[in-house]
Amino acid sequence: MPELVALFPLALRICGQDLQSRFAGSFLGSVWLFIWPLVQMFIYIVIFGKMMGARMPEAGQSYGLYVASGLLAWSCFAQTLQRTARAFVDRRNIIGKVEVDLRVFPLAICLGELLPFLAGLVLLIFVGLCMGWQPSSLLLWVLFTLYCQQLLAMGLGLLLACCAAFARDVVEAVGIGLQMAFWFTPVVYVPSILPDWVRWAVQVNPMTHVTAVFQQCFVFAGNASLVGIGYIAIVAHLAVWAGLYVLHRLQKDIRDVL
Amino acid sequence: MNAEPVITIEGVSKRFKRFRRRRDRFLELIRHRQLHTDFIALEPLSLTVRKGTILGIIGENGSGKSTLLKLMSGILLPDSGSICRFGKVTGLLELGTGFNMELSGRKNIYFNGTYLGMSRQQLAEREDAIITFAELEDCIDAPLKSYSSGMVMRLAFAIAIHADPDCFLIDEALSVGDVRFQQKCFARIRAFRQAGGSIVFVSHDMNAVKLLCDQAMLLHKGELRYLGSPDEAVNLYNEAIAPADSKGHTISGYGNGAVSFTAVETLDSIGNPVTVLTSGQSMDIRFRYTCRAPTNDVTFGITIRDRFGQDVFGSNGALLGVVADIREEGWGCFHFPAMNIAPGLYTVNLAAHTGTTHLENCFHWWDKATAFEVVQDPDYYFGGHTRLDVTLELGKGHHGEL
Repeated sequence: MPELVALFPLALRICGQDLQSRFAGSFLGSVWLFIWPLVQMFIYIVIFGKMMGARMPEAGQSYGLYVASGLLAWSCFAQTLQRTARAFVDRRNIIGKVEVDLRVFPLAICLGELLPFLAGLVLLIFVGLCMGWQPSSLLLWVLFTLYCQQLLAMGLGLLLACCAAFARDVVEAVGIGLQMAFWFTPVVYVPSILPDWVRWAVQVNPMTHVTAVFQQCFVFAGNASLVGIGYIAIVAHLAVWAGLYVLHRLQKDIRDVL
Repeated sequence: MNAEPVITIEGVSKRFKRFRRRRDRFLELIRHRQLHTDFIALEPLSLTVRKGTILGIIGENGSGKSTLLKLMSGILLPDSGSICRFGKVTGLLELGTGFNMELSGRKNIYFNGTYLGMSRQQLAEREDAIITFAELEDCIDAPLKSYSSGMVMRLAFAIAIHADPDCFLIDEALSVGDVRFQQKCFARIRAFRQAGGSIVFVSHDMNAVKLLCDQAMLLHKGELRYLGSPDEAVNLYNEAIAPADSKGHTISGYGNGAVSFTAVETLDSIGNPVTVLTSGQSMDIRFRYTCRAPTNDVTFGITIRDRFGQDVFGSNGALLGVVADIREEGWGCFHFPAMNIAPGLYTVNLAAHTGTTHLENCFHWWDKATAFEVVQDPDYYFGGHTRLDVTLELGKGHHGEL
């Protein structure tokens, strides 16, 4: 972990360059970062909230907020995981040319994805305030959860990125896997509607607990489940440890095949 | 020679796993049965690159030169042994890493610089110097995609050369831009070396190896054949690449075979076989022949061709006034008191015929009978193809005869 921290300056530079590359040649540039969450927020709060909210007794009137807060966490996680999984494959022309620490790329992606997330968070807070939501100390737990969630995404992403170096199929499979995982995470539904036989699977999914913290904060104004947060923290750190370990073991072969 | 080391390599070896099919890699994991064959890129080798020295690496294609360079730069990791780098090592292997064609040249200086290990502050300081060196003042803010390929290479090289490392790794001849810019690059590399920088370079240009290197290593199929003086390394290399027939075992060519060559060799002034000589030195080309039937008026001819196949020189016995009636086997020798030709690779053709050309009666025409290399005389540089005798006289005033 201290080594990872030492990579931060380089990761931040790469992350800035990623953004510049991404919007190179476009007129609006980084404004696009804010347009996406804005459109999503509009769709979920206005359309889903108004049209489907009535069928969700627990979420009630704020179904839109419920979906938006869960989705904020989920989309950041999914984006990070998906991009991390292809981190080495996409950068093979750099990895094969200059000496660079392989860990810097996943790190740069994790940090980079925070920007659209923060844009979404600001929007969500703004919309929430308009709808009469009261900020609470739960926001601090949201930030901690965010940290764990990115760590989890990086850990899993690293594992997948190592596999992807040998078989590009992994990159494709990640998209499908994320689609399935999405439906095992209570983002558009509430957990209570689930039949018992899938409930345990949803409970095991760490993202369930991540979205729960967000939903508690923005919708229910209840208490965060410390057990849930503890579970996320442990799983996330385990994932990062596993990811870094596998990378360390396979690093030589990965460099050979890229 | 005992300056501080920049790179030390101890017992480093590298092998690549070769799988017949992609999926074998995974089957191997499951079945615990070896499905790959090892390709040995480098046998264990040790060496030290010291401060202020130039090390040349030569060898045939696939001898592991590039692998060694990649190991030195840290792109690949060795299977065994250790590589220690003291100070910054920058590769001029692949220029322009991280370039984005959509962005301006100026932005790309920062992109590429990041991967060459330059801090933002260093880049800001050197930005102007880089742009000036690349001669791109006019279009540095235009997107890279509007540049010509030569301009992109110039920019890439300018950034790399300003990375200010302790050691440069250079792969093959640097072909950056036009001749004038190349000379500017070489001048810059020379200055770098005079300032105490080290260079490791891979080259097929034996001339450059002899001229520039303090030390040279010869790799053959991943094995260190020789590490020491550049002259000796080049000689060993030439021996290794010489085709089997020039060693006198098999002789090809055409002709009616009444008189035919059996062997040829190139010798220096004291009669030792050589394949490399300095421009202006003397050389003997000696051959042996046999004869199947008594033949009259036989002429032996020689042609020396450069690497493009252009005739540099040609003559024969009829022109030189040496014609023989041949009854039995014998030998002959073309004696060149001064090989006044430019540095480069040359091949020798031998011919046995009658008259001044081989068109009438050709007994044996032996193409590429042997080859030799001429290297620059360090005491006398000249340009062009031939080393003409020349003196320069200077005077004052208007007394010239112009």
